[in-house]
Parts: sequence; structure tokens; C-alpha cells
Amino acid sequence: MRSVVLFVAAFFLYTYIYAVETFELRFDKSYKIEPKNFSKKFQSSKISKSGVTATWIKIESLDSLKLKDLCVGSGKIIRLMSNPELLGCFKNSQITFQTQAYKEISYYNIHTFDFKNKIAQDQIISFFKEMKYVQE
Amino acid sequence: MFKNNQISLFIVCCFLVGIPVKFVFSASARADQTAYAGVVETCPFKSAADQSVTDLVDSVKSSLNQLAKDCPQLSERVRQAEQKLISVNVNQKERNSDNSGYYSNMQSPNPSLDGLTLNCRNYKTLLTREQEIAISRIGVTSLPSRYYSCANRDDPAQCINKIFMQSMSESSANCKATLNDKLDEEMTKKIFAAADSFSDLVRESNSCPVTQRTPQLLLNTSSGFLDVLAGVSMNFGLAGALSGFLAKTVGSLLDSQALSDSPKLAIYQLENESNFENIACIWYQLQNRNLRCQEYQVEAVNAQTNRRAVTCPEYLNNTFAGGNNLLSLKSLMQNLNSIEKNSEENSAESLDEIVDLMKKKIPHPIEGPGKAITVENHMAEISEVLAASNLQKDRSQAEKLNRVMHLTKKLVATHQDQTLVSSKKSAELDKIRKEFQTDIKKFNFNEAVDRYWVLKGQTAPSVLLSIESSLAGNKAILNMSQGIDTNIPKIQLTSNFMVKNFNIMFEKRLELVRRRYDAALKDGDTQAVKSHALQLMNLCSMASGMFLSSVDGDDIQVYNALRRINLDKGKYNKACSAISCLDKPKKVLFSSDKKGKELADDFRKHQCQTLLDYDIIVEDLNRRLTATGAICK
Repeated sequence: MRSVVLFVAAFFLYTYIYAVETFELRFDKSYKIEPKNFSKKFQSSKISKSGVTATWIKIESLDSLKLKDLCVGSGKIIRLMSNPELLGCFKNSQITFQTQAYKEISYYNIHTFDFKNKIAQDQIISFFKEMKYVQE
Repeated sequence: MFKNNQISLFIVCCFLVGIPVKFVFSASARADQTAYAGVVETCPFKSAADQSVTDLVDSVKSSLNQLAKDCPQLSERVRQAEQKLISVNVNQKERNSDNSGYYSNMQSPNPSLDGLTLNCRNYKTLLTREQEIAISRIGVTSLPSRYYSCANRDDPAQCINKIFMQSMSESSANCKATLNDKLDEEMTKKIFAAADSFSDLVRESNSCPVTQRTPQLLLNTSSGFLDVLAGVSMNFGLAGALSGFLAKTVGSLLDSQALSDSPKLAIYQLENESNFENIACIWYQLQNRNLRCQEYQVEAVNAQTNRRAVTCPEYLNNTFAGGNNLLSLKSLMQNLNSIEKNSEENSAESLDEIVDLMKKKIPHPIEGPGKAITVENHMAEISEVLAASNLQKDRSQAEKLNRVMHLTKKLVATHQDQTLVSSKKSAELDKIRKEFQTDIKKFNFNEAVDRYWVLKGQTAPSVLLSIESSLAGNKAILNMSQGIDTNIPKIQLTSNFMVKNFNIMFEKRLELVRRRYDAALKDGDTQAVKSHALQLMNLCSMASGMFLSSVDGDDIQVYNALRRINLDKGKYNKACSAISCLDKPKKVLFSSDKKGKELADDFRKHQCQTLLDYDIIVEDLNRRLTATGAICK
């Protein structure tokens, strides 16, 4: 009996920890994240919330993302968050943005969320509403 | 196979025994990808992460060709993708040729990275590896020196990640100052063309019949292809621009017919691949700590140290051709000694021989025939190693050796100087010879060389065991924790839990690897044979305790599974029969006719020695594969 309780407790602990926090981005329980890891060089996951599904990849980078260059053409720069400010390039049902764990260290994570279906700007903003970005 | 509940059960086990596994699955940066509890920093089961781009490209090419074999209509797409991938790699190679080092005198603070110099080409890999090591050591043993300050922090993992990011950022800035990091337009086009060609290939693979191996092939290809693109693009600062392409490609893979039709063989299996690696590494650490291989290593080194009196003269007497004479380090010393005794005329010949000998290249006495070094540089190296010693006596010997070498050079230069008039030259030579006489008397060459071997041996025990491999090559040993393990009971208990809960998973994996190896042999796929052969050898030899130890449900907390060796393991013996011929430097598969405690002692000795011999075993394996195309023919 004891081991069953411990097993269940550990399972929930594992699920909880794994689901809610990833790097400087924190996701609450309304997001379902399934890591896929197709590559050893970047992290890939399937992420969904309220019926909206995306493929999320995260690449670590020592170079800052040039949002304007990336968004040239049909892209549009949109604000996902104000404090700290988080701008992303919305283009072809994809949103790409950059996070930085420490303001003073030039080490970045570049995230791209590729939405499975065509998605509107307000849906994107709504998708990231419960996501937290913690920067020091 | 590996499931979440097994992970959880393992966490419970570790919580019960106090092993700090929280970082394995914690939210700390990178931890979910790479960190695992314990102290062995790298392990043979994680070797794929270190694949070079060239290896990756070869592996992708092999998978692509198999895809084309299964689905002939993909042949053209495969050819295109292959060509584009090669063009990316060629440029990468050219770029890497400009890898002028920085931090040229900097040694990595971590034992497993010792002897490796950070340069613009390797800093990402080495710093990342070191950070993984630091994370895995939290709460277990001391951190690498770069991360010492993190040990007592509230959140050591966060502290480590911060320092890691800072180091990467600084290294990058250093390299950018010396290298042209701008990517030319042509290369950008090539990378995007490669990404495009692969997306096309994935899309078109949906029209192919799905065979049993299609999902695995597609995953192998994708994984390698994406790694190449991601690696190359990140090196070029192209991560932002390529991330959208990668996301689209990953998305199309998730939607691909082959993968969606065979979930068990596809994503499920891929996830298990990396999870298995982590579990195998945890076992590898536990097994080696449980068997106290660290102590065995010290015992082995001590035993060898006692025999050094025999090996050292051999090393000194080792001759190498030099004109009409056979030269050796011993003759160097004899010549040096003769300088002080002889007159100018008589010593001229000795001086000529010294000049000749100093310029000779010899196989590096430690790093083996692969690295040649001039005698002069070897002398300088001996001096450098002694100078870095903690003992004053060694440092003093280093000074004396430097002085002797300096005076020798001066003596030779003066002797060869044609501009000096005879009387002046003679006076100069006498003056130097007198200094030389005083200094060489204080210097004991044999002792200096002997201390050099000892000092090198402390960082690379393989040296003393005469293993001719690169200094950092003997990972199995270098990766072990420093110091004596004080957590043996916990280690034993956790080992018991692991054997109980993961034995079946390991056996299934072993069977799978054996099947893959046999299939690759049948297909004549050289790359796949090589990869599966190594996996098979690693499982059968490096993780053998998992298969050969025994657990008994009720008294799991009172004994040590690794002291209960059972050689009658049908599945293990059957799967590992493929490596039964590996016998360099001794039989790799364990066998013994002893029983009980003696059998357990035998196993410990065998297993720990196998770790020490790892490089030789891999060399033997590769030699056999090259010669016959199989491990055992």
C-alpha cells in the first residue's frame, strides 16, 4: 500500500514539475506539453491549449534574433507580453520570439511555435496568456 | 520498455535512499535533456551526443539510402537531399579549419576534460559537457572548479546554468573577435536548400508503402538531418532564421503517415532511445560506484607504480634511428654526462649527437604513436609537468632540467658558432661547461622522468597501465568521481532497486540491439553494423552487472545484488554471444568457475578492469569490424 501511495505521489510530482516549468518560460496546467526531441541539438515538443495545437522548437543561441529581418515580407511583429517585454514575429502560422534568462548575459533561447492550423493574431495572444516569462 | 511509472518508481526508490535525483526531471534549464544523478560524468551510452558533423552526415546518408531502397520513387529526392547535406558539411569543414585556439594555455578544470584545450571549434561542446557534469554532481560530489562557487547556493543548478551561459557568451565573443562569423549568402542558401529538400523528402515519403522499418529509418534520418542543420546553422548564427524551417519540418514529421501509422515503432521508440540512454547511464554510475572501481583503479595504479623501476629503463633504452647511431634517451643522458668529463675535442662528437637527438621525433611516450614529439619538446614537457607539481622537490627538478637544457643549447650554439675566434670560443665553452658540470650534478634525470610518469599517471591512470590512447580517451575511468565514496549503502540499495525494476527493460533493449546488429549485418550496412556493434559491446560489457546480478524481492534492503552474481543468464548469454571473441587485452565477457564471495570478487575485478581497458576494447572492436565486417566472424 505504502509503495502504491509513494508511486502515485511520485508520478504526480513528476508530471507536475515536467508540465509547468521549462527554462525561463513557465507554463501552467492549462498547457499540455509532450516532448518529442527529434534532435539532440534543439528541443522539440508538441504543445496544446484549449484545442489549439502547435509544434514548439527551442534553439539555444549566442546571437540575438533580428526580429525585423526575420519578419520581412508578410510577417508582423506583435507584442506577446509587456513585462518583461516579449515581441514575436508572426508569419505563416508561426510565431518566433527570443527569451533571455539573464539580462546581462548574451545567451538566448529562440522559440518557434508552428501552429497546425491557420491562426489569427488574437488567438496567438490568447494562447500565450497563461505563459510566464521570468527574466533576471 | 521504459514507461513513466518506472521513472516514478525509480524516483521513489531514490527518495527512499536519499539519492538526489531531483535534477533529472526538474525544471532547471537543460536538466530534462541531459542531467542525471550520480558522478560518472559521461558514459558510453551517451556517445551519440558527441557525433561529429561528418559522422552524422555519414549516418544520415546510410539511412537515406535505406529509405530509397524501401521506396524507389524516393531515390531522386534522396539523392538531392544527400547532395545538399554534403555541400553544407563541406563548407562547415572549411570553416572549421580556421580553428585558431584561444585560451591556449587553459586546461579545462574538469578531470574528464583534462588535457583538452578550448578553442573556437570545441568550446560549445566542451562547456556544455562540463555543465552537464556539474549538474550531475550536485549534492553528490565536488563540482568542477568553474562551478565551485555554486555548491553552497540555494539553487545550485540555476547558478551553474548562469555561469555556463556566461562562459559560452564570453567564449563566443572571444571567437567573434578573431573569426569572421558572417555567413555568406551562398552558404545561407545551401542551408535553406538542405532544409527544403528534407521537408520534400518527408512529405513524399507519405506516398511510400510503410514497411516495418520505415518509421525507424525515417526517425534516424530526421534526427541526424535536423542535428546537422541545427548544428551548422547555430555555428553560423543562423538559428533564428532556420528555426521556422525546423519547426515546419518537425511538424511534418509528426504528421507523417509512417510515424502516425506505427506509433509504437516511431515516436514512442524515439523517446525510449534517449530515456534508455539516461537510465543506462545512471546504472553505469551506480554499478561502478557499487563495485568501488575508483578504489580498484588506485590499486591497479599502485601495483603498476611498483613495477615502474622495470618500465622506466625500458623507456629510457628505447632506441630510435639516428644516422649511423642508435639513439635513446639514455644515450642522451650519457652524452650530457660526457660533456662535463671530456675536453672540447672529445665532446664535439657528443654535442653533434645531442643536436641530432634533440631534433628527432619520437612517438609520444604517453599519448602513443599517434602523436609524434621531438625529444627537445618532450624534455620541455617533462619540465612543465614537474613545474606544476605540488611538491617542491619536483619543482626544483624542473628548474634543474630547464637549466641543463638551456646550457646544452648554449653549449651547442657556441660550439657551432663560426664567427668566434678559436681562443674566445674555447674560453666560452669552458665557462659554460663549468656551469654545466655544477648543474648536471644536481640533476637526476632518471628520477625526473620517473616523477613525470607518476604525475601524469595521477591524471591518466591508463598511462601507467601502458594503454596507448589519447589522454582524454579513457573516459570510463576519467569520468569517475574523485575521492572515496561514503555512500556505499545507499548506492547498494539503489542498485538493488534498479536491478529489480529495470532488468527486464535492459534485457529487451539488449535483444533489440542484437536484432538490429544482425539485421545490419544481413543488409550489409557498414555504418549500422558499426553503430549497433558498439551499442552491443557497451551493454554487454559496461552494463553487465544489470544482467548478471540477482535480486530477491523480500530482502532487497539487506544485501547487495552485485555481490550475487549469476552466470546462468540465458538472454544475456545469447545476445552477447556476438561479442564473445573480443579478447583484447583479455576476454570482455565475464566468466569464472568460482562461487559466492570469490565469484563476486572476480566479477568486481573483471568489471573494473574492463572500464580501464575500455579504449583498447573499442579499438579491438573497430579493428575486427574493419577487417571482417563483423565483431566475430
